[in-house]
Amino acid sequence: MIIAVLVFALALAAFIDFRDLFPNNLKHLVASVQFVPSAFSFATAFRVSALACLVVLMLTLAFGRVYCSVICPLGILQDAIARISAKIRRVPPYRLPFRKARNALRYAILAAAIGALALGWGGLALAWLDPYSNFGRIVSTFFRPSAAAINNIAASITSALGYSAAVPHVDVGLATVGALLPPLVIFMLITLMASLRGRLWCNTICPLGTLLGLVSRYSFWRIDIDKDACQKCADCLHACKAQCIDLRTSEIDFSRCVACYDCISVCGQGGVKYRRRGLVAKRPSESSKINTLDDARILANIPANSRRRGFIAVAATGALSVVLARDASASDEGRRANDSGIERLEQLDNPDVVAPPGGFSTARLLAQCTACQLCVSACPSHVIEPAVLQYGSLTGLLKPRLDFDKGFCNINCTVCADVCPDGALTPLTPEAKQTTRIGLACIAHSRCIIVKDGTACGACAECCPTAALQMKEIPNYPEPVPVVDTRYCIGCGACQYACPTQPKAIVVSGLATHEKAELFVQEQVKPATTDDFAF
Amino acid sequence: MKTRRDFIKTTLAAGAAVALPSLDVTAAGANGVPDLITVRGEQRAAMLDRALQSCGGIGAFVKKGQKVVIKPNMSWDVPPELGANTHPDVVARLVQLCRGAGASEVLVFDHAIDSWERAYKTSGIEAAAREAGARVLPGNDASYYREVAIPRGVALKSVKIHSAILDSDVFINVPVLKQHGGAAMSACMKNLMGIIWDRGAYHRNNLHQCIVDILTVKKPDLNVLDAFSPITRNGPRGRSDSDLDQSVRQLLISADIVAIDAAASRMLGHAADGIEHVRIAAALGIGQGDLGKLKIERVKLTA
Repeated sequence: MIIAVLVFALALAAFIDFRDLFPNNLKHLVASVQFVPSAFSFATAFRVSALACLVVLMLTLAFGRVYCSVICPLGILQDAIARISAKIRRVPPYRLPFRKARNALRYAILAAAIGALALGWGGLALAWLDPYSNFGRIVSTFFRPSAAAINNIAASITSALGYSAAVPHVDVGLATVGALLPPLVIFMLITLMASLRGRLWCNTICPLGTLLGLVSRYSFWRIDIDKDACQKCADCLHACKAQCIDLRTSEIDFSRCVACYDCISVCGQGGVKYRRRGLVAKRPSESSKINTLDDARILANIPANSRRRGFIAVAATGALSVVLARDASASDEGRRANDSGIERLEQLDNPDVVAPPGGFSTARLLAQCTACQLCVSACPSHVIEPAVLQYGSLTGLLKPRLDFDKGFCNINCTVCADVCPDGALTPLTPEAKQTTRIGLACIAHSRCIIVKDGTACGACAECCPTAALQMKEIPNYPEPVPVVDTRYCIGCGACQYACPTQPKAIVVSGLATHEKAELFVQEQVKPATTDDFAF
Repeated sequence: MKTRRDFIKTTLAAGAAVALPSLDVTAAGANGVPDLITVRGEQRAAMLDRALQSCGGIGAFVKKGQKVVIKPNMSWDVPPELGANTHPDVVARLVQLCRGAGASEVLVFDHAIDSWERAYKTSGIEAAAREAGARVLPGNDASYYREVAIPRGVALKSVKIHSAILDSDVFINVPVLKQHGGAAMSACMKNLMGIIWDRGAYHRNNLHQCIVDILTVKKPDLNVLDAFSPITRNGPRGRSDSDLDQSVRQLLISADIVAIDAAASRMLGHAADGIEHVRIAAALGIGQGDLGKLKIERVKLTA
């Protein structure tokens, strides 16, 4: 219980943190011990956090689904929802009857998830089924803006009381309708299921719950009913959030047990025991419990260890095949955007989507990202937002993109990749970040204030951190106008954000494959005057 | 609390030390106070002390119990040695002096272009100003700004100004001198783009004229220009330390924002009226743009 509250509080804080007070490495840690992100980094770019998924599997093999009770933030969120909902409805929490497992459905979803991975659709399936990512989306889309709005109310009250700016105002950062709807539907579904049926989501829809359920069939320690001590008072049944205690047969379906141990603590007779598997009486019913669904039987009969390996291998090949398949088409697009000199109004009006630095390519990002929104909520510049259809496919739904009308990417900042738990964004050193080109700026001088109004501006050049954008005298224009040297442009979007005219005269178009920009190096400037004081 | 009390004691002592000799200067005759003082030296804080000494000390601008707002340039997520922001030493010294002169409160803020939290931190100004006894305010939300009409404005008829500026008794402008891609030069007048909310409106409506228009309703009481190592290209952000002219080593002060910017333009190699906003401001009578008509004191401090 304490661990669960702690884990939940940390995960909640990591996603809500609207003032960037929570250390980024802790954000990364909180997220990267989650199973799916950890399995992703295991399969793609090995990091220490990749071991977390093995630890979870070993824990499950030893004690059952403790992941679901104390580590999974979505599981803990459901417990919180169930309790709050019970309070509101003035009924005791849970008191649910035993229900048979919906094996056909849950094994079908698990099989579909694994099948999707094998077919290279892992980026889509896992993004939508991973419990951690669903939690991230719910908190980032609803809880974070709410918390920020409350902060802003507090800020207004404190300044009204005369302590101006004691509490700084923050950007509420509400997502667009398209990005808001999918998590809303899932949040409502989870709220409904948790309120009425406890951990129904975890035991029917969540493929991770199903996978760990299969592993927990072989758990070393498990909860069991002591048939001699049990008086069938049903206290345990009423405490069970997973509806997995069958008192008629005195059996516990351990594959659905989320290891909360509430049944043990509630039993006054010592009828529910936690004991080693060896001590449990041989149960003939074990095999009969497994559903007849072929997929399930195959899965269940493979030893836990090799199943994991298979899962990882499948995930890896799936992810890789997508990358390879899409990278070929991506590179042409990069070259196309690289040409400069000609005004491309259509490119300014319909710029290509910009993926965060460290993503390397759109294809790689889409294959590996589970759309947990941790980078969205951690970005100090508030420039990352969940995409709707900007990536041009459903796989890209709610995956991070940069919106330069909302802000720009700070050249020294590496936060998004630092926090990313699944390796979809690979951490960059500050030096590498400064030359990582994620897009290219395109200018339409016909829209520029200097040309249109004949007055000074230079807002874009002012903000350019790489000196790629300079005010230069070029033929046909009486005054210097902004010109981009594409060798140095990294596509940070500072120019687009600063451009004061509508439609924007300078727009960054994303690159499908990120590139390395040249570093702008100049000789030391000469002193402007030789006189001591110059005036 | 102990350290804070100690700190106030020491700053009071420091303030008095600066104020005392300067009283003699004012006693010698108000006409003797120069319009513009520039000090060449090696240490910014000492240069500021020396410059203020020539015009009556900080006490000539800040009286006991007054609320002071200091507007540095801390717009960029760039460290002090790259010259994009005012040097923290200048700001910290100024805060100390104001506290020493008995200011009830010293506020420091900027409407940063980079993320304000990062810019405040990396510039080194937030920490230095706090330690010196200032309160550092954010400028990142429209709610901090209030609409002010500009009856004499040519391009700008109204503007939203940070309430710290509007509600303070003394307004001290502390920019850093830089070449500027858009406005040719960023010095005292251009620095005031950081006291307004909608920068884009300036860029849309004749930048130079807007920079001048706001001065018809709000002018700083004192301008302190950090020209120790100005950025002379790739400004106002700068690209590397090779953009800095390390030979300048000056600090200028003046109550006349046009005079000090006219002088600054000479330091960047322009004519005194070579910068459009300086020329417009002088023509409108905001201040004196003709350096020949100014009483200028030039001081060389030896290290």
